[in-house]
Amino acid sequence: MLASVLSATLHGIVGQIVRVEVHVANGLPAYSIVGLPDAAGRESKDRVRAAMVSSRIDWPLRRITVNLAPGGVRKTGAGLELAVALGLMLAGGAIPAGLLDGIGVLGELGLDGRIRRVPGALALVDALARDGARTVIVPHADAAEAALVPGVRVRAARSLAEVRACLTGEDPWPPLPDPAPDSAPAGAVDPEPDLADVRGMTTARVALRAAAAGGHHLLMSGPPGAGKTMLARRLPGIMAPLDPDEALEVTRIRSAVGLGTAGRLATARPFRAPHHTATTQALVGGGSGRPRPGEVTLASRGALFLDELGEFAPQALDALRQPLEERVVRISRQAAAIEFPAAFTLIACTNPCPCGRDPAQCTCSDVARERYRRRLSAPLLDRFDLRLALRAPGEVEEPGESSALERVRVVAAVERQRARYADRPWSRNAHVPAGALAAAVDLGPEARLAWRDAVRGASLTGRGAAALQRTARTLADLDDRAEVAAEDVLLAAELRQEVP
Amino acid sequence: MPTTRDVAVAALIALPHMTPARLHRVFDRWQEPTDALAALARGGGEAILRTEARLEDGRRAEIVAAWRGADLGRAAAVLARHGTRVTIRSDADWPIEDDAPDLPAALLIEGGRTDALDHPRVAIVGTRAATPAGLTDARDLARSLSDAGITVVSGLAIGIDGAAHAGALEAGGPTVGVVATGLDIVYPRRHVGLTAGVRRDGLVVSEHPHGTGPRPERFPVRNRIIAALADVVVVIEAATRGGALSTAAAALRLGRPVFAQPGSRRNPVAAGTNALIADGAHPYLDPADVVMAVGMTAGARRGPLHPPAPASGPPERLGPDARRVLRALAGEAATADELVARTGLGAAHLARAVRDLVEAGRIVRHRGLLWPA
Repeated sequence: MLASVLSATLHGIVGQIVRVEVHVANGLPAYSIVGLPDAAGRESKDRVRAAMVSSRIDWPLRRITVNLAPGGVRKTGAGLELAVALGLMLAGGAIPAGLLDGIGVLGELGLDGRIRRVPGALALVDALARDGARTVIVPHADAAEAALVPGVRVRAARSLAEVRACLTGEDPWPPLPDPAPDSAPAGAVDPEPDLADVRGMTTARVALRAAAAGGHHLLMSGPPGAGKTMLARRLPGIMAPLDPDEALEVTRIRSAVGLGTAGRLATARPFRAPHHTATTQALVGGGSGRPRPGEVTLASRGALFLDELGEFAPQALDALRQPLEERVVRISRQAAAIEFPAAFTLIACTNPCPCGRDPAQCTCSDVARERYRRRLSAPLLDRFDLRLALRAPGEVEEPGESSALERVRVVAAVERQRARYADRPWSRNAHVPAGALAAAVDLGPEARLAWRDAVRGASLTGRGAAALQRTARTLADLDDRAEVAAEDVLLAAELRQEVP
Repeated sequence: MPTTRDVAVAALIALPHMTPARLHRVFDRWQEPTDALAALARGGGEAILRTEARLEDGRRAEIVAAWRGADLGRAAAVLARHGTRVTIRSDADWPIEDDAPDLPAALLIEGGRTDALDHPRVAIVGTRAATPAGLTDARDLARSLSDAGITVVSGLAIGIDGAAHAGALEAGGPTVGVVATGLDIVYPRRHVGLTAGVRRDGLVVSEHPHGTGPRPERFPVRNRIIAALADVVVVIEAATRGGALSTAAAALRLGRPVFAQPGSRRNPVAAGTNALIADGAHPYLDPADVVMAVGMTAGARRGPLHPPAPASGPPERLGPDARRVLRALAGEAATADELVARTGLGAAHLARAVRDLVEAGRIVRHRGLLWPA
């Protein structure tokens, strides 16, 4: 007897369809599983068997072959176990044939027949739905998350015995669980620090606003106590809300790495702040076996905050360059190449010199400063559209505008960009490729002159010259102007200084 | 072709373990370098080293032996290749008027302006970690002094020294760079271009044989030559420790007038100059003061002095925003944020004003801050 059950496994952060084929033949009782399972997949034999026995379902005492198709793709995790068990039941005649047609099955089994949750349910159900599954059976704990995928009926499974009873129509399917209460929104930072606490720092505010609105990478250099971290922590609070596509992507990533989604789409943009001891792998992803997404992917559609940038391992910083440029991470493995999204805004801080004193009081020698500066490679520094020197605030000023108010400006500027780039593969000024700049950035004659002067005066690289145009475009968007003025270009140049 | 006498001096300087004090004793004993060399080749070193009681016998014998074998051929080749001039303390054109055993007894000189040392001479020295304003001050002073007919002497180091040489060159020179290496070695490497300029429109001077590399202990020792060559020493910026203060100390020992530029007590590179003023140095306020001081020294005999032109030219045409920013800067470094807070200008207007001031050379970006220049 042969049976086939539709399931899926996680490949990076996307679901990969797997057909679980079960063949039960006469012969000495045996069990073999083929089709590139990992260690967890091979162990599944014992779990499936115990779960079936605990659920009072006959284990066919015959020669069993389980094939996970397609054979060339490595299957990871234990999420295929429910599909294997149901396939055995089909092939062994415990449930009628044809009952699982058009149904996708996900779930890991406990020895007592309980069905455990699987990582990446959102991505897996998404893949199943795309493959034509009209119904999915998923672990009860993942049901709310699975229900986020449109156009597919979700069945919540709590135990193997219950699944059989529901499939054969003896019992009704249990109701879907509600999403977790709203008190802990997915990915939120609490309590949210507010920009109203920041006094003065007008240009720093402009830079932060531009980073949030245009997706420009921001580097802040300054002695300890200058307020770098304080500003960086306030970036997520002024970023525009996620649009539906972005929300799905963020939720899918969180689901795939097991960060938990509480069964709701993410609303807040991610803000990740890995410590400077993070390895290259932790930062950009990778790892042996199943490549895991790194911090750059977890920060996708949001911000990645690297405090003490110069303290990160040089290899880790080098590895950042490719995702910074292409907004995806490519990890090549013997079997296949995996792409992770990495559309993050980088916000980084650094001390200007080893002594950490105010720049006007610093007595570090040129050589010492140069050596310190060299920890950050020129190509990396060149990728920051916004580079700012900060200084410990000395003068007491009025409290600044609140994050809520800043956010209104940012949202309006994001809308302007969305309308401009409606038919383009990018949506933010920082992501406009050099070749499309001329069409996107309408420099007036005076602005063009200011831009030429700035490029020549600071002898900028091609990347730097383009960065000025992109930032100027964002500044004009924040000011709700269609044409980029000379002021925007000059301010963009002021916001991109040689630091540290 | 170098004369036999020049070759002999170069060979004497290049002898191993030759120090200024020993060379003084050599010339005390044999006035002519050729005689000295001949005597040393016959073991005459014994007589020179006898006075050094602390020298062990074995060591003394080693040195005497080493001094027997002066390499005349190499000395002649080096002088010919580099066009080096040689001067010793008994020469008519010996540029140092003082008589102190720690001053050099011979100098090697290269460069296009052989008359550079024949004018009144002022040393401009200071820290390597200079502020943009300090660099501008050094440059302005050097330019004014050059216009007044004075040769600017300095050490070809990074910072104030470099700005002083550059200012003198802008005004047509001449300027004299006293180096702590052999004349064939450029240190710091960054000053390759400046050194070439000084060689063209001035002179480079060293007490060390060719091939001598940079060593930390040679720089303060070199400073005594700068002080000795100068009629007046001006310190523009200096921390409380560093080479500039050793030049000032040497100048005071030799009785040279010392000027120091006052600065804010918050500025670490004004601490040294402020301390000098507290100790009795003249505050440097205007180039004319320096020219006047030179006029009262023996150096005034070397050449006529012209009163310098006013330090700065006519004020540039700056916009009202730019003038506000300059006032708000108040002579100290600031961030753009601080200037926004002080002037009340918007970020974009400030960016324009700063751009204009940078172009006019009134503001310099340095260490992430905006500095008055």
